Amino acid sequence: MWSEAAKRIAEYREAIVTALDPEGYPVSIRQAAPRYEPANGEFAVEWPSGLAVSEGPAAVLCHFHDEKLWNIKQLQIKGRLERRDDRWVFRSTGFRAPAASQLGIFLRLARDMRRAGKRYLDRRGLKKPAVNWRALNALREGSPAKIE
Amino acid sequence: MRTDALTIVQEYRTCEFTTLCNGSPQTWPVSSLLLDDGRFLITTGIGLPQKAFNVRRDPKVSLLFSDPTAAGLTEPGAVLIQGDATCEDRIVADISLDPDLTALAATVTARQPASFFMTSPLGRLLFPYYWMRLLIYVTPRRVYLWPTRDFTKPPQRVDPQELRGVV
Repeated sequence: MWSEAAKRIAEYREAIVTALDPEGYPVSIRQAAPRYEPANGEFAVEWPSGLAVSEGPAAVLCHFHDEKLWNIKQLQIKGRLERRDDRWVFRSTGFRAPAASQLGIFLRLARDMRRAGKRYLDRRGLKKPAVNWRALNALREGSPAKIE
Repeated sequence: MRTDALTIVQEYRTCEFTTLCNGSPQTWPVSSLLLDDGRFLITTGIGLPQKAFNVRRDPKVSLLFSDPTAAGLTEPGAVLIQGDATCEDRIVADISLDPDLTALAATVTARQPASFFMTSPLGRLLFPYYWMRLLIYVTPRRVYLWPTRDFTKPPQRVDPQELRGVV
Protein backbone atom coordinates (compact mmCIF):
# COMPACT_ATOMS: atom_id res chain seq x y z
CA MET A 1 0.00 0.00 0.00
CA TRP A 2 2.71 2.52 0.93
CA SER A 3 4.83 1.79 -2.11
CA GLU A 4 1.97 3.02 -4.28
CA ALA A 5 1.60 6.10 -2.07
CA ALA A 6 5.35 6.71 -2.33
CA LYS A 7 5.17 6.47 -6.11
CA ARG A 8 2.29 8.91 -6.32
CA ILE A 9 3.64 11.45 -3.84
CA ALA A 10 6.91 11.56 -5.76
CA GLU A 11 4.99 13.13 -8.64
CA TYR A 12 4.65 16.32 -6.61
CA ARG A 13 7.30 18.81 -5.53
CA GLU A 14 5.51 19.69 -2.29
CA ALA A 15 2.97 18.28 0.13
CA ILE A 16 0.60 20.02 2.49
CA VAL A 17 0.74 18.51 5.96
CA THR A 18 -2.19 19.24 8.24
CA ALA A 19 -2.58 18.36 11.90
CA LEU A 20 -4.37 19.94 14.87
CA ASP A 21 -3.19 22.63 17.23
CA PRO A 22 -3.68 22.35 21.02
CA GLU A 23 -7.09 24.06 20.72
CA GLY A 24 -8.26 21.53 18.13
CA TYR A 25 -8.08 23.81 15.12
CA PRO A 26 -6.51 22.44 11.92
CA VAL A 27 -3.08 23.81 11.12
CA SER A 28 -1.27 23.32 7.81
CA ILE A 29 2.17 23.84 6.31
CA ARG A 30 3.82 23.00 3.01
CA GLN A 31 6.62 20.50 3.11
CA ALA A 32 9.10 20.65 0.25
CA ALA A 33 10.07 17.34 -1.34
CA PRO A 34 8.90 14.98 1.39
CA ARG A 35 11.08 11.86 1.63
CA TYR A 36 8.29 9.34 1.86
CA GLU A 37 9.38 5.89 2.94
CA PRO A 38 7.62 3.17 0.90
CA ALA A 39 8.43 0.56 3.54
CA ASN A 40 6.49 2.16 6.38
CA GLY A 41 4.60 5.13 4.94
CA GLU A 42 6.46 7.68 7.03
CA PHE A 43 8.32 10.90 6.36
CA ALA A 44 9.96 13.52 8.51
CA VAL A 45 8.13 16.83 8.83
CA GLU A 46 9.99 20.04 9.48
CA TRP A 47 7.43 21.91 11.55
CA PRO A 48 8.16 25.63 12.06
CA SER A 49 8.57 27.11 15.50
CA GLY A 50 5.94 29.66 16.41
CA LEU A 51 3.11 27.55 15.01
CA ALA A 52 1.55 25.34 17.68
CA VAL A 53 0.81 21.74 16.73
CA SER A 54 -0.08 18.57 18.61
CA GLU A 55 0.51 14.90 18.10
CA GLY A 56 -2.53 13.18 16.66
CA PRO A 57 -4.66 12.85 13.54
CA ALA A 58 -3.10 14.35 10.43
CA ALA A 59 -3.47 14.38 6.68
CA VAL A 60 -1.37 14.99 3.61
CA LEU A 61 -2.64 16.65 0.46
CA CYS A 62 -0.70 17.06 -2.77
CA HIS A 63 -2.33 18.92 -5.61
CA PHE A 64 -1.58 20.62 -8.89
CA HIS A 65 -3.30 23.00 -11.27
CA ASP A 66 -1.97 24.85 -14.29
CA GLU A 67 -2.06 28.56 -15.08
CA LYS A 68 -5.69 28.25 -16.18
CA LEU A 69 -6.71 26.42 -13.04
CA TRP A 70 -7.11 23.24 -15.04
CA ASN A 71 -5.34 19.87 -15.46
CA ILE A 72 -6.06 19.40 -11.80
CA LYS A 73 -4.69 16.43 -9.95
CA GLN A 74 -4.45 15.60 -6.31
CA LEU A 75 -3.88 12.87 -3.76
CA GLN A 76 -4.68 12.54 -0.10
CA ILE A 77 -3.14 10.39 2.60
CA LYS A 78 -4.59 9.90 6.06
CA GLY A 79 -2.26 9.54 8.98
CA ARG A 80 -0.95 10.79 12.27
CA LEU A 81 1.64 13.35 13.25
CA GLU A 82 3.94 11.89 15.86
CA ARG A 83 6.76 13.28 17.97
CA ARG A 84 9.88 11.07 17.84
CA ASP A 85 12.65 12.39 20.08
CA ASP A 86 13.18 15.93 18.79
CA ARG A 87 11.49 15.62 15.41
CA TRP A 88 8.05 15.32 13.87
CA VAL A 89 7.05 12.36 11.71
CA PHE A 90 3.98 11.83 9.55
CA ARG A 91 2.87 8.19 9.70
CA SER A 92 0.39 7.03 7.06
CA THR A 93 -2.72 5.11 8.08
CA GLY A 94 -4.81 5.21 4.91
CA PHE A 95 -4.41 5.83 1.21
CA ARG A 96 -6.73 5.38 -1.75
CA ALA A 97 -4.88 5.61 -5.02
CA PRO A 98 -6.43 7.91 -7.61
CA ALA A 99 -7.49 6.29 -10.88
CA ALA A 100 -4.58 5.72 -13.20
CA SER A 101 -5.86 7.94 -16.01
CA GLN A 102 -7.37 11.42 -16.04
CA LEU A 103 -10.39 9.98 -17.85
CA GLY A 104 -10.77 7.40 -15.11
CA ILE A 105 -10.62 10.10 -12.44
CA PHE A 106 -13.17 12.18 -14.35
CA LEU A 107 -15.65 9.33 -14.76
CA ARG A 108 -15.29 8.21 -11.15
CA LEU A 109 -15.94 11.78 -10.02
CA ALA A 110 -19.02 12.08 -12.22
CA ARG A 111 -20.44 8.82 -10.88
CA ASP A 112 -19.72 9.65 -7.24
CA MET A 113 -21.08 13.18 -7.48
CA ARG A 114 -24.28 12.03 -9.17
CA ARG A 115 -24.89 9.44 -6.47
CA ALA A 116 -24.06 11.82 -3.63
CA GLY A 117 -26.19 14.63 -5.01
CA LYS A 118 -29.24 12.40 -5.40
CA ARG A 119 -28.70 10.99 -1.92
CA TYR A 120 -28.43 14.50 -0.45
CA LEU A 121 -31.82 15.47 -1.84
CA ASP A 122 -33.52 12.12 -1.14
CA ARG A 123 -32.52 12.04 2.52
CA ARG A 124 -34.01 15.49 3.04
CA GLY A 125 -37.13 14.82 0.99
CA LEU A 126 -36.21 17.65 -1.36
CA LYS A 127 -37.04 18.04 -5.01
CA LYS A 128 -34.28 18.80 -7.45
CA PRO A 129 -34.01 22.60 -7.49
CA ALA A 130 -34.02 24.41 -10.82
CA VAL A 131 -30.64 25.77 -11.84
CA ASN A 132 -30.60 29.29 -13.27
CA TRP A 133 -28.74 28.51 -16.49
CA ARG A 134 -29.34 32.03 -17.82
CA ALA A 135 -27.34 33.48 -14.96
CA LEU A 136 -24.54 31.01 -15.54
CA ASN A 137 -24.54 31.70 -19.27
CA ALA A 138 -24.24 35.41 -18.47
CA LEU A 139 -21.10 34.60 -16.51
CA ARG A 140 -19.78 32.73 -19.53
CA GLU A 141 -20.23 35.92 -21.54
CA GLY A 142 -18.34 37.85 -18.87
CA SER A 143 -21.34 39.99 -18.07
CA PRO A 144 -22.44 39.44 -14.49
CA ALA A 145 -24.63 42.53 -14.85
CA LYS A 146 -26.90 40.50 -17.11
CA ILE A 147 -27.70 38.07 -14.38
CA GLU A 148 -31.40 38.13 -13.57
CA MET B 1 -4.33 44.20 6.34
CA ARG B 2 -0.77 44.34 5.14
CA THR B 3 -0.61 44.30 1.39
CA ASP B 4 1.39 41.10 1.00
CA ALA B 5 -1.04 38.96 3.00
CA LEU B 6 -4.06 40.56 1.38
CA THR B 7 -2.62 40.05 -2.08
CA ILE B 8 -2.02 36.40 -1.32
CA VAL B 9 -5.58 35.64 -0.17
CA GLN B 10 -7.05 37.52 -3.10
CA GLU B 11 -4.76 36.43 -5.91
CA TYR B 12 -3.96 32.78 -5.19
CA ARG B 13 -6.22 30.60 -7.30
CA THR B 14 -6.76 28.01 -4.62
CA CYS B 15 -6.30 27.47 -0.93
CA GLU B 16 -6.04 24.24 1.03
CA PHE B 17 -9.25 24.06 3.06
CA THR B 18 -9.30 21.73 6.05
CA THR B 19 -12.37 20.55 7.92
CA LEU B 20 -12.62 17.95 10.66
CA CYS B 21 -14.32 14.57 10.31
CA ASN B 22 -14.60 12.74 13.64
CA GLY B 23 -11.60 14.72 14.85
CA SER B 24 -9.40 13.98 11.84
CA PRO B 25 -8.44 16.64 9.31
CA GLN B 26 -9.62 16.39 5.72
CA THR B 27 -8.01 18.82 3.27
CA TRP B 28 -9.16 19.84 -0.20
CA PRO B 29 -7.98 22.49 -2.63
CA VAL B 30 -10.78 25.04 -3.10
CA SER B 31 -11.35 28.54 -4.42
CA SER B 32 -12.45 31.13 -1.87
CA LEU B 33 -13.60 34.75 -1.82
CA LEU B 34 -12.75 37.32 0.84
CA LEU B 35 -15.91 39.26 1.73
CA ASP B 36 -16.15 42.85 2.90
CA ASP B 37 -16.94 41.79 6.47
CA GLY B 38 -13.68 39.81 6.67
CA ARG B 39 -15.22 36.37 6.27
CA PHE B 40 -14.34 33.95 3.49
CA LEU B 41 -16.92 32.29 1.25
CA ILE B 42 -16.33 28.76 0.03
CA THR B 43 -18.88 26.72 -1.84
CA THR B 44 -19.37 23.05 -2.56
CA GLY B 45 -21.92 21.19 -4.63
CA ILE B 46 -24.38 18.78 -3.05
CA GLY B 47 -22.56 16.12 -5.03
CA LEU B 48 -19.49 16.75 -2.86
CA PRO B 49 -21.12 17.50 0.49
CA GLN B 50 -18.51 16.13 2.90
CA LYS B 51 -17.06 19.58 3.66
CA ALA B 52 -20.53 20.83 4.56
CA PHE B 53 -21.26 17.80 6.75
CA ASN B 54 -17.98 18.27 8.59
CA VAL B 55 -18.50 21.99 9.21
CA ARG B 56 -21.99 21.42 10.56
CA ARG B 57 -20.60 18.93 13.10
CA ASP B 58 -17.40 20.81 13.95
CA PRO B 59 -16.88 24.43 12.88
CA LYS B 60 -13.10 24.48 13.33
CA VAL B 61 -11.40 24.89 9.96
CA SER B 62 -8.29 26.30 8.33
CA LEU B 63 -7.35 27.84 5.00
CA LEU B 64 -3.78 27.70 3.75
CA PHE B 65 -2.97 29.96 0.80
CA SER B 66 0.32 28.49 -0.34
CA ASP B 67 0.17 27.77 -4.09
CA PRO B 68 1.20 30.84 -6.12
CA THR B 69 0.60 29.23 -9.52
CA ALA B 70 -0.91 31.82 -11.89
CA ALA B 71 -1.04 34.52 -9.21
CA GLY B 72 1.60 36.58 -10.97
CA LEU B 73 3.64 37.36 -7.86
CA THR B 74 7.41 37.54 -8.14
CA GLU B 75 8.04 36.93 -4.43
CA PRO B 76 5.12 34.83 -3.27
CA GLY B 77 4.40 34.16 0.37
CA ALA B 78 1.85 32.07 2.21
CA VAL B 79 -1.02 32.75 4.59
CA LEU B 80 -2.65 30.37 7.06
CA ILE B 81 -6.04 31.25 8.48
CA GLN B 82 -7.70 29.35 11.31
CA GLY B 83 -11.34 30.04 11.88
CA ASP B 84 -14.88 28.96 12.55
CA ALA B 85 -17.17 27.96 9.70
CA THR B 86 -20.89 27.75 9.19
CA CYS B 87 -22.88 26.02 6.47
CA GLU B 88 -26.60 26.55 6.31
CA ASP B 89 -29.05 24.01 4.92
CA ARG B 90 -30.05 26.23 2.00
CA ILE B 91 -29.17 24.90 -1.47
CA VAL B 92 -28.45 27.69 -3.93
CA ALA B 93 -29.25 26.67 -7.51
CA ASP B 94 -29.87 30.21 -8.71
CA ILE B 95 -26.62 32.08 -8.25
CA SER B 96 -28.30 35.39 -9.05
CA LEU B 97 -30.05 35.18 -5.66
CA ASP B 98 -26.78 35.48 -3.77
CA PRO B 99 -24.45 38.35 -4.71
CA ASP B 100 -21.50 36.81 -2.85
CA LEU B 101 -21.89 33.53 -4.71
CA THR B 102 -22.24 35.43 -7.98
CA ALA B 103 -18.96 37.21 -7.25
CA LEU B 104 -17.20 33.98 -6.35
CA ALA B 105 -18.53 32.20 -9.44
CA ALA B 106 -17.47 35.12 -11.64
CA THR B 107 -13.97 35.04 -10.18
CA VAL B 108 -13.61 31.29 -10.60
CA THR B 109 -14.97 31.17 -14.13
CA ALA B 110 -12.68 34.03 -15.18
CA ARG B 111 -9.68 32.22 -13.75
CA GLN B 112 -10.79 28.76 -14.91
CA PRO B 113 -12.24 29.14 -18.41
CA ALA B 114 -12.64 25.38 -18.83
CA SER B 115 -15.10 25.31 -15.94
CA PHE B 116 -17.77 26.40 -18.42
CA PHE B 117 -17.86 22.73 -19.32
CA MET B 118 -20.18 22.39 -16.34
CA THR B 119 -22.81 24.50 -18.12
CA SER B 120 -22.50 22.59 -21.42
CA PRO B 121 -25.00 19.88 -22.37
CA LEU B 122 -22.45 17.15 -21.62
CA GLY B 123 -21.44 18.77 -18.34
CA ARG B 124 -25.07 19.06 -17.27
CA LEU B 125 -25.62 15.41 -18.15
CA LEU B 126 -22.56 14.09 -16.29
CA PHE B 127 -22.71 16.49 -13.33
CA PRO B 128 -26.39 17.31 -12.84
CA TYR B 129 -25.92 18.44 -9.23
CA TYR B 130 -22.79 20.56 -9.74
CA TRP B 131 -24.60 23.92 -9.73
CA MET B 132 -26.65 23.10 -6.63
CA ARG B 133 -24.38 24.77 -4.15
CA LEU B 134 -23.96 24.87 -0.39
CA LEU B 135 -22.35 28.01 1.02
CA ILE B 136 -19.67 27.81 3.69
CA TYR B 137 -18.65 31.00 5.53
CA VAL B 138 -15.40 31.12 7.49
CA THR B 139 -14.81 33.71 10.22
CA PRO B 140 -11.04 34.05 10.76
CA ARG B 141 -9.72 33.71 14.33
CA ARG B 142 -5.97 33.62 13.73
CA VAL B 143 -3.92 34.66 10.70
CA TYR B 144 -0.30 33.72 10.02
CA LEU B 145 1.95 35.00 7.25
CA TRP B 146 5.12 33.54 5.74
CA PRO B 147 6.46 36.40 3.60
CA THR B 148 8.74 34.15 1.55
CA ARG B 149 6.93 30.79 1.60
CA ASP B 150 9.74 29.36 3.71
CA PHE B 151 7.79 27.11 6.05
CA THR B 152 10.86 26.26 8.07
CA LYS B 153 10.73 29.82 9.46
CA PRO B 154 8.32 30.97 12.17
CA PRO B 155 5.27 32.72 10.72
CA GLN B 156 4.29 36.31 11.48
CA ARG B 157 0.98 37.00 13.18
CA VAL B 158 -1.55 39.23 11.41
CA ASP B 159 -4.60 40.76 13.12
CA PRO B 160 -7.74 39.16 11.62
CA GLN B 161 -9.49 42.54 11.98
CA GLU B 162 -7.28 43.73 9.16
CA LEU B 163 -9.27 41.50 6.79
CA ARG B 164 -12.39 43.64 7.24
CA GLY B 165 -13.43 46.36 4.86
CA VAL B 166 -10.67 45.82 2.33
CA VAL B 167 -12.72 44.59 -0.64
